[in-house]
Amino acid sequence: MFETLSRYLAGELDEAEAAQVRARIDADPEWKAAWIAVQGLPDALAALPHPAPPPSLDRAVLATWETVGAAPTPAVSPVPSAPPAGPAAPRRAGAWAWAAPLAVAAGVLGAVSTWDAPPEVQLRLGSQRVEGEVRLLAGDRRIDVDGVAEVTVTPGDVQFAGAEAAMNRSHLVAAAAGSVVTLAVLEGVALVEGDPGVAVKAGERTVIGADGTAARPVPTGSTAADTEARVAALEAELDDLKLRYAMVKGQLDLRVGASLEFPADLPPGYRPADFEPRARSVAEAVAATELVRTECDEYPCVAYYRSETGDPGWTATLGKALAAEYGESAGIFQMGLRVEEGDRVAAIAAVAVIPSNDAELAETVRARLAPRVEPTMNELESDERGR
Amino acid sequence: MSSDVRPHRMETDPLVARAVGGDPLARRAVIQQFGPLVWSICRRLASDPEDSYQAIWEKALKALDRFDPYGAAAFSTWIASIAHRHLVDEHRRRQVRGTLVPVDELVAPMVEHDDRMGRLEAAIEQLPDGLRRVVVLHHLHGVPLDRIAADEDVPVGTIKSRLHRARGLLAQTLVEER
Repeated sequence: MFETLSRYLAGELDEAEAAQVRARIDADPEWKAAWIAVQGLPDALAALPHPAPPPSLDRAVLATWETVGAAPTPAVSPVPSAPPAGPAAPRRAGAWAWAAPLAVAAGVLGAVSTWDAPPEVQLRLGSQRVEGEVRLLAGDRRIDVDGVAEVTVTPGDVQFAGAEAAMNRSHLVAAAAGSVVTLAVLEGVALVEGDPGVAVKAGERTVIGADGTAARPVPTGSTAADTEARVAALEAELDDLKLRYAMVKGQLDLRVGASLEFPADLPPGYRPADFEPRARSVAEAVAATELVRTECDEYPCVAYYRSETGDPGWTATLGKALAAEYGESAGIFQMGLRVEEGDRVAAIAAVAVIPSNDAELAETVRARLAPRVEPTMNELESDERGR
Repeated sequence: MSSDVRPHRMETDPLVARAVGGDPLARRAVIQQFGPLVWSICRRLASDPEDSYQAIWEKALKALDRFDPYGAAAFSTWIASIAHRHLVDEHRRRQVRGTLVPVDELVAPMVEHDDRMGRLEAAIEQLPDGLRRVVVLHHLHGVPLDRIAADEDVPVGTIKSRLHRARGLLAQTLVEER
């Protein structure tokens, strides 16, 4: 009914179907109530608030923008073996053009593009300093330098473009196949794009291989003593992490607690021998719900219920049925899992019940429930996907 | 239907152009202007809203040179689409693994929200991921259905079906809780 009304609202029903819907709305109070709800939904949804994110997140985004999107940059096609001979079509803002034709060996490794007037291309050898905002291509990696960086292309069969020793955005660089680019950042930052990308900060360097892979940045000018100091620092960090792990694990063990024995004076329906019939009666009280398993390896027993209705209110309905069956004084604990497989949605709930909601006992049961039911929930989820 | 979705905010796009040009005040303003939109999507659709919020902005900033401030698409639609693709990717990476959560967390919003908006928010939370994405993007953020279909790589008819299923479930929940 609701889905049909939504299609009616969208004007997707043919005339005969639409007439039928109109007649039902007029004749049936249930259809009329549903129609009012469906009709008001778009406005209600559009009126939902858009709260602002935590300020710390916006500060982080702003900082990222400072680094990542420093200025309008040209879109660079991946590893152009030969850039277009003439200027590219102007972009919507900050028009730029490819440089003049560049004599590049087959299998180009690196190239710096330009977004100003194309310079005269003069090839140079050795290391060069890159200043300002410069874009390089290494393999299919893009490197954006914002600051000052030393670029070294090895082996020596290097083709550098630019008449000046200090390159800037108006120069081109290319290197022959098989070369390796070493990028040492002296000021600012360089971003080597990829998955994952690599940010090389001032005082660090990275090596971009012929295949475009970028090594993890390391401090520039590292000596054996620097390396030893770094290893020592990492070892200290590892010891600290081990200690933290032990503490967290200890806290977790303390929090989860030990398994509970079944009390001798339990009322009927809570003991392993008679738990299942009572759990089954709850399933029978809720539409389209089945009891799929019970577990009584420790106290309290756990019942696993399943529904495939897709009804978002199912867990609430189940909760009400449990309260009705076990009484208001019982402590009821539930864990839920929603499994989606294509358009099919199944919900599974694990339920533990204790006769009286004693605060201390409730805390222990609650803490133990997730680790207790997780293996079974995983199993039931696998079963669900195999259906 | 396009009349039941939020209008695009075209007037903000010159601000985006200034931000893209490097104006630091404009950048701050763009984040303030569109942050709530991205956050709203993350909060309602992402498994880790804070992580997704930063990842979506990072993707958007990296792709800014492909956004045309004077083109047909508003920045709000553009960034919502980036957010959508990110969440679809995230969803596929998770292989639709269900999340084990205490049911009282699922039930609580249904019981505690006595106002209509709160109940609607809670009902949206209960929708399956695929249906929730369509409702949130289309009705709360004005993303056209054909764009959602393109981002999800499915026919637009599939998206329409999901939309009607989602609206049906939401309306049903609201009626039954009265």
